Amino acid sequence: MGKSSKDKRDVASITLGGLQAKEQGWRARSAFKLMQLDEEFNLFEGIHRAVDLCAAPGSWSQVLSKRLSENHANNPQEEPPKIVAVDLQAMAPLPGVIQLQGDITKVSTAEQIISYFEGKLSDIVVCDGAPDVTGLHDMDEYIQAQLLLAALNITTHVLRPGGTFIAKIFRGKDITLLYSQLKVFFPVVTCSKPRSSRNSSIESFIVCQNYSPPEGYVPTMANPLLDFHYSGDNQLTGPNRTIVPFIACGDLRHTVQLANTTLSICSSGYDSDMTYALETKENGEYKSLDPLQPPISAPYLKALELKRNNFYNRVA
Amino acid sequence: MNLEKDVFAGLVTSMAFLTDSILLVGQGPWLKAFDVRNGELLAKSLVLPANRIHRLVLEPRGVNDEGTYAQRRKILAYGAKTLAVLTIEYNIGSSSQLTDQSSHHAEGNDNQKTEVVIRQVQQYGPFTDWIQDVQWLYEDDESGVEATKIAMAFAHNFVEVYDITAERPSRVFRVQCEEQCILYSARFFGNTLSTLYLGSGTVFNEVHVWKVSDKNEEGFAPVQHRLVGHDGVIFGIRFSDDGSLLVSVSDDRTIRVWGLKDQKRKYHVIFGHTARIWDCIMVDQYLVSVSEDTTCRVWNNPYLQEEDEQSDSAMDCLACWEGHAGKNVWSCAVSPNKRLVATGGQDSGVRLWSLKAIQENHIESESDLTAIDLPELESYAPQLEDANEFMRNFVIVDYDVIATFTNQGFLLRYDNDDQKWTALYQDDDFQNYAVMEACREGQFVVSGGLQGHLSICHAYSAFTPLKLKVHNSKVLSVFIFESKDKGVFYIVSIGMEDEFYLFRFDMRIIDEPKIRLVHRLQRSEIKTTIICATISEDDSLLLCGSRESALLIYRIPGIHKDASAEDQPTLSTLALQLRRTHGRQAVSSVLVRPLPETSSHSPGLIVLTTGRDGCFIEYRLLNIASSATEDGPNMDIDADKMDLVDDDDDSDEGQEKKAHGKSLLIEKVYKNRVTKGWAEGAMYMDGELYILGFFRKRFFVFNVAKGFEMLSVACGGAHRAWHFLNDDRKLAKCTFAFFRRNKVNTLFRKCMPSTETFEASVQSNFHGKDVRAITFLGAAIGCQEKFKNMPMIVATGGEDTLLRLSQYVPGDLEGSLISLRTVRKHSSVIKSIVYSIGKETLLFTSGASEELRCWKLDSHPPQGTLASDFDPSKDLLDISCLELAASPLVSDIKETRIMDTSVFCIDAHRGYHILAAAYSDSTTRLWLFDEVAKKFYLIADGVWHMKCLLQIQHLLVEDNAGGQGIIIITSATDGKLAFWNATSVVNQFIESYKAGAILELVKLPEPFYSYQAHLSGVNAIDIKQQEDGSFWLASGGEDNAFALNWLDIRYDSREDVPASATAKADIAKIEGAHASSITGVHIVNRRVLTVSTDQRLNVWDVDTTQGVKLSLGDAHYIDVPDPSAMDVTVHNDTIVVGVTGIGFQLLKSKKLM
Ligand SMILES: C[S@@+](CC[C@H](N)C(=O)[O-])C[C@H]1O[C@@H](n2cnc3c(N)ncnc32)[C@H](O)[C@@H]1O
Repeated sequence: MGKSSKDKRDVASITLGGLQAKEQGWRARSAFKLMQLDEEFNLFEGIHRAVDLCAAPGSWSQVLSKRLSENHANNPQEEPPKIVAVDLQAMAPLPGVIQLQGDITKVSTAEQIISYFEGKLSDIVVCDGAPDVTGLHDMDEYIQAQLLLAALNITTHVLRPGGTFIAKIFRGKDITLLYSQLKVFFPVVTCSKPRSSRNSSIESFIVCQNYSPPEGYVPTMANPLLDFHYSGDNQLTGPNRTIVPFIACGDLRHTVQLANTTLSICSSGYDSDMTYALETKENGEYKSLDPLQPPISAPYLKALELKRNNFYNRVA
Repeated sequence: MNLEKDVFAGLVTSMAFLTDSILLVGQGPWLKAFDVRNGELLAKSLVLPANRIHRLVLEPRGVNDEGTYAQRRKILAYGAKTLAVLTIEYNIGSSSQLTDQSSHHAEGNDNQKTEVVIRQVQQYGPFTDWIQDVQWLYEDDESGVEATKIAMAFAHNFVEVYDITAERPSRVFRVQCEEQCILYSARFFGNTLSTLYLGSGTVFNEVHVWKVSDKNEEGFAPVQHRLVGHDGVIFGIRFSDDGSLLVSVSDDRTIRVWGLKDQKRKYHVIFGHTARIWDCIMVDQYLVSVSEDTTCRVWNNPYLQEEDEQSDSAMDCLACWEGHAGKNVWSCAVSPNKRLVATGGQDSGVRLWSLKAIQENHIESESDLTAIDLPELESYAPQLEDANEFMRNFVIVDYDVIATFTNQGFLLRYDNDDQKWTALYQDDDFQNYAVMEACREGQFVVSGGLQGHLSICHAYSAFTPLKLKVHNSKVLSVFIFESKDKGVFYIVSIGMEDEFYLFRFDMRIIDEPKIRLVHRLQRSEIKTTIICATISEDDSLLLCGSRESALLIYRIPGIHKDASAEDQPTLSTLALQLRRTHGRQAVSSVLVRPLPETSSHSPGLIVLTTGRDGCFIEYRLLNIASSATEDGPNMDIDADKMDLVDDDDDSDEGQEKKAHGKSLLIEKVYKNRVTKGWAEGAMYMDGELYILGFFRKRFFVFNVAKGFEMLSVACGGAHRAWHFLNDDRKLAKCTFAFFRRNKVNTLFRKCMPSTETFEASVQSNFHGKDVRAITFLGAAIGCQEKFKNMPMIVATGGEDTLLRLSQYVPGDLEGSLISLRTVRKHSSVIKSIVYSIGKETLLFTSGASEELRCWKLDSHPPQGTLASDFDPSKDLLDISCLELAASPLVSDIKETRIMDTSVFCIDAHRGYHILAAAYSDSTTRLWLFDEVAKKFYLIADGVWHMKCLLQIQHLLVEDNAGGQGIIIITSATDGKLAFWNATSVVNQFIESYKAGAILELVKLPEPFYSYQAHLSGVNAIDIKQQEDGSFWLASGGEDNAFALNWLDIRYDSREDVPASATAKADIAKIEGAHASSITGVHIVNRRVLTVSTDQRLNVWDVDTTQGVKLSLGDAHYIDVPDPSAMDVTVHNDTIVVGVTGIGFQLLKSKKLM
């Protein structure tokens, strides 16, 4: 996952994705990932209802809101869009998006989401959830898988048959177990990596299409899905492993448009790994970018603040 | 291919002491047993294949039986969803290195070897969920010696109990907690089902304690205690032995101690780690915690301290152990006798620390101190018989030497070694009163008397005592400072008059000491009593602190001049006075040191004062004209009214105060309160600031940089007459003395009292962060020497920016990777290591920030060993790595990374090397390195992929006309591979270079061949010529695919189009070769090895009878997470595969395929 190390450049230097996102008013550069997935899979055509799990700071919700509004504008006779966004963290409000602060692995949160749909089913469920990585890869991958399974569990309640489920995955050591689990519910499962996601990052997205629960499957909250084990048709090592097709998306079509910047290499598409020459108009200096929408709270903020105020040495 | 796993370096995630001398370590899937007395590996066993051991849980009661082994103990090891039940049989022998029997006497069994056998009884799983804790359970009535059940806590907050007495274990109990959520941690308390509790660490920052055997109406177990307060996920929970306390650690960087029996729900918060905390153990009055910040810290458990015993929050930390590299200390364990703490790091290191030593740094009672009383009067002044005699004052002359002035005017010396007193001097002018100061360097004592006399006495009577009348009435204080000239000192003497004096004391001729007044110093107009002082010889300044909280600075020009005796002493007035510096409390000490050289504000000093307000203040003092003698107005400033200036360097104070006078500018840069008591002194040891002081009934030494209390002595409270002497950063040797009830109470410490017999490092460090590059140095070793048996040397580099050269040493239980050299020169991640042999053996390292460095590698057998006798299974190669050059930065863009390099020697005689490098700005660059000139020259560059390059390789192709084509192959995030013909640009450059001209940078010709191999990034490529002259190009991608292109590559120096490549067959491709991105490929004979982030190593058979057919041969699970690089070598007829990522793993084939 190496979020800590590999993606250090996110913080250390300017990134084109970040600039672009800021220019275009997205809350996070993750927005491009969803847009690039859409380019490949045409996710949003004619849909009205969406669930955005692990949504903060909300750039996917922004994309959803924009595309679903467009759909409605094109066909005003159809129902207005409905988007439910959930995250552990508080999120700045977004027009047209119902927000819910909660843990998607908790049964009560799932129940609440379900209640918002008032018996109707969603066309798409997306989950960009990522835990804070600890650096213990097996543990991080497990927690990531649990987020995905929790999302899948919610999906089995709210997604209409034929609908789409998209979730972030870490392709770690036990990823084939997740593939097996997803294939139970979706005949078409593809692993896709948007170009705006770094080559070096372990993250990619699983696009599950045409929701078809097994016959007689009754969604239940009481017994959350637990993942699969290695077995005959999905072995630990060797040729019999469940591996889903891979599709790269977002390349060659996405042109870079920046108002304030010029690219020395303007070519077929933006590459998140590439080092670009950037000049800002002001003075040719690199300008450091704040993370687009900083998290509203981070667990160690208090500790930092206490340190700043000399807590360690202060007289109570 | 039959690869077997050998060396593994990686996170040490679990540990437990089997006995005081045997440490069990879970690292990856292996359980190891070490003898802590000598670091010997006693046993190793693979217990959880394909999973790492997260915890080891010993059965509480061990069993002694009459079998072959004296003792037997059961242990549970779990990781992910699997659990192993093991039995460990062992004998404790005497350790060969045991020097001090006392600490292990009870355990040692003479004439016997320590032996450990790990027997795997059973492996269970996979269970349905991730295991967060396991516990041994006895029958409820506590009958039976052995545990009959195992309780398991799972990540979805439910518990299952299994009966293990039967042949097949059966589940006998299951309960879900009413709180259904994911846990990051859990911990059991209790060893019977009816008394079993679980502490659950939830994702939403709460700790819940619930009783496993309780069920509510819905059948869920209700939560008994909800411990709310953390601001982050809970990573670790522990109960105290009696279950009354719970300690939790979190993402929020705090440790919290909760009283479970306490109705008031009071809890304590401990801050101090600078990153996330993974675990914390309660041991008696201490807490031992391990953190992402790479330290292990020991704290006072605040819950167990009496209200009035509670110290400052800062003083709660008693030790900060830094023995691991990189990032993260993951695990810790405490020995049963509570003397040792073991820590396990990300860096594969296992280290031991003495908890006992902390106790010894905490002197609890006065009985640990030596109370020194005067000898019988008769022994030194029999004539005085009944005189009223007692000590008036004392000083520490040396670590074990004390001097005292008595009421009767005797100066006596006490030697602690033989506990003898010696009279040095007697003078009635020093009766009833003496101020004293001692100088360890000069071994003399300066005293001031009631009538204004000073005496200078050598502690061993090397010179006749000097006595001079300085003041009209009593001497208030004296100070001694060393000068830069050995044997020359300054003495400051302060009396009641309006001026005070600075003397130069010269004892270079020991039996003819000279003292001369060099400066008269005007007292401040405001009444203030100087109680501390220091000088800066370089800046000719005397700095004093007063009881009335002022800092006084005098210029003492010409002080360092060895002036003749005729020179008149100069009169100096106060240059700068800063009042109310420590509120209204006394300035207890003042210290100066030069400003660090890097500072923009030189020349100048850092002045540090401590005060009885418990603070220390750091000032920056700029000496604008250090030679100035002109009389400017002297400045008298109230520190409270100093200007507030915007702070530029973000000090914690958030404000900076400036004042100036007589060409001195003083800026307050930092003020920090370290104690609620008195800060009485300060010192710098190896650049770290230590503050000395008193708080409540104790004297302390506090390490400010690391934030922990290094020494604490119960001394009944603050004392005005006290001294402290030390000269090592661990305070292993120190003397602390204070005066009470006419006795000198002294702590004499000659060395750390607990010289425990243990090996501080049981398993050595590897990289502490992700490894990104690995290269076996095969041919690069032994160029200078003819080794009969070649050692296997591997070079690695990565996120920690270190280049490591290690030797593989085979072993009985496991091979080990022994670090030969660690080179810290790169400023950011190392991504590629390649070597080339010309005149010398050169190593090239490169990575982020466009760093590309060339090193000269020298390797020899160790001194005294002939190359022919060198035994690589026990001798370590003597290898050196000398930096020759670094390439210039050529990209226009900051942050350009060098993703990969490839190098060959083009002219060994001249020492010319061609290095091809792939840059993240999409440019392929070719360098010439001239090892004689030690210089890089940029030959050519080219851009084609328009994407970030990932890999680069070179290929030398011979033609029939005796020419050699230089072909460069690049890959990028666009999924393509491109072939460049670099022959003519390189040759032209070299020809002209030989002739003395350096050609301008040229463009590489466009690639002559390319193909789309992958859907996205091509992370790994390897090209090898086959027997028939054709080539295989294997590539692995981000898209999980592995491709092999069988090519004819031709070069003809006579033709117009001198290079071509044609595929001999369709590109063979396995789309889902792995479940994740492929990060390494290597062609070995007619097979290809691929490694991927899915932690599998696949061996592909290649069949070229009809086109190219790939089929999976062997497949191995790799224990290194996030594998990012692989290298393969043939060593002694075995194939050796090295895989790196978060750690390192070596696999070896039985014999050559
Ligand atoms: C990468 S961010 C999502 C970014 C978002 N898609 C956007 O475009 O703005 C991942 C989010 O997952 C959330 N998350 C992690 N674990 C969660 C859980 N158990 N329940 C709900 N949200 C969770 C985190 O709070 C975080 O905001």
